[in-house]
Amino acid sequence: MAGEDIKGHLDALLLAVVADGPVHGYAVVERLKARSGGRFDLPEGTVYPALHRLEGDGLLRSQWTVANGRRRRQYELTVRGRAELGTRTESWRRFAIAVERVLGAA
Amino acid sequence: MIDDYLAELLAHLRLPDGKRRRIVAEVEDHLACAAADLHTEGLDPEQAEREAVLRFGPSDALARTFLEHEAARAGRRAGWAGATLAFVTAVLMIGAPGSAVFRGDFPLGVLAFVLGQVALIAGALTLARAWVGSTEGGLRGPRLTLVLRGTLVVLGCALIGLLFGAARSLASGHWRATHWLPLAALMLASAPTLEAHLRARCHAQALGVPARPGADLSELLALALDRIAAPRAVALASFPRRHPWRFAAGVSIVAGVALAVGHGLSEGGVPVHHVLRALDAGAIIACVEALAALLGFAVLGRYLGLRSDIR
Repeated sequence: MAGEDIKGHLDALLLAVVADGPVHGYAVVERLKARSGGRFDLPEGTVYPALHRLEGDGLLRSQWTVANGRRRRQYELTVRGRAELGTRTESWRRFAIAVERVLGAA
Repeated sequence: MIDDYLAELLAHLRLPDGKRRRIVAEVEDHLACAAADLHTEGLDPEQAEREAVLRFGPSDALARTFLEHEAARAGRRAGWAGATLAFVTAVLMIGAPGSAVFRGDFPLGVLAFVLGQVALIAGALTLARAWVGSTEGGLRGPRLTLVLRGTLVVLGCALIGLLFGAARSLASGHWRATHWLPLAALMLASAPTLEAHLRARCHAQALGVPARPGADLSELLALALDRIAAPRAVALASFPRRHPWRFAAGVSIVAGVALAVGHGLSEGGVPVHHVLRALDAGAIIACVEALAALLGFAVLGRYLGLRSDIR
């Protein structure tokens, strides 16, 4: 799926991926690819501005950690982020069901 | 290859040093991990680095996205700070009984009253735009330009008020609390607004936001009517775009009558016949306010995005 197609859903997808546990940027992209079965193949750099924006909005928090002698920024969900993920997931489900009903009736 | 990419990215990122360093460190870690994985999969080290950079995307596009987000955040902060300053300015210059420094006979009292009203309108528009921008995934483009313009108008009103108040206080020869407290409050509210405005303007200029943003009053009205009023009323929102001067005249008349009624209420109390009598006596007030509002629309309407400057 092209980057443009998932642009409007990227925030929710990132929140869902980070909800699995603390994760750094590269692993976010890897998890996104793995959980979508390789369908979400967007330019990898695009996740970083979104991660920073979500952090600025108080939905994620991050801190530097050291792994294998390398400094990396780890992200995790805040309480607000978890609530937002719940809201977006519910909203998406309602939307998907409605689309499915329309397409199924065609 | 990775080092070249990082150097390019660093050159494109027009952000504060701390943010640039953090972004580059994260990207460096990402590219190193990606290249290591690709090398494990069988690519030679140089090919692995090239592939990792290719998958990451162009550095200029990435830097621009970061800058857009930073500009949106700074613009939103400027909008909120500007709206707060507008409220403080309006309260001090129009409403607060303790701010004697802004009270006086014609023309001083009238100047403060006009500045307070202009700040309030510019602040309300700025707040609406900052709010709509943040609910639509970020403040950008023409709307960011209009937020910056609105903030600048509010800052201008506050600055003129400060100068006017300070001069008046100095001329009176004594510093009473009713003089220095309102001036101190105005200065305190102006400082964060000025800082936020300058920061947002800096990012906006780096992005090249539109210099001629047009008007979005009808769009704002449509959103407001859709959310807080009957959806059927949304069609009315296109009226200011189709007939800007008729809309301005209507609003001016309503503002004039509202001011005269307010004057009537303060003079005569709530009973209707008192209000009507005061309204009759306040016909001059109504006319002056209506003319002033129309003049304000003519002078600042385009700048504040109330009427379009693009035909």
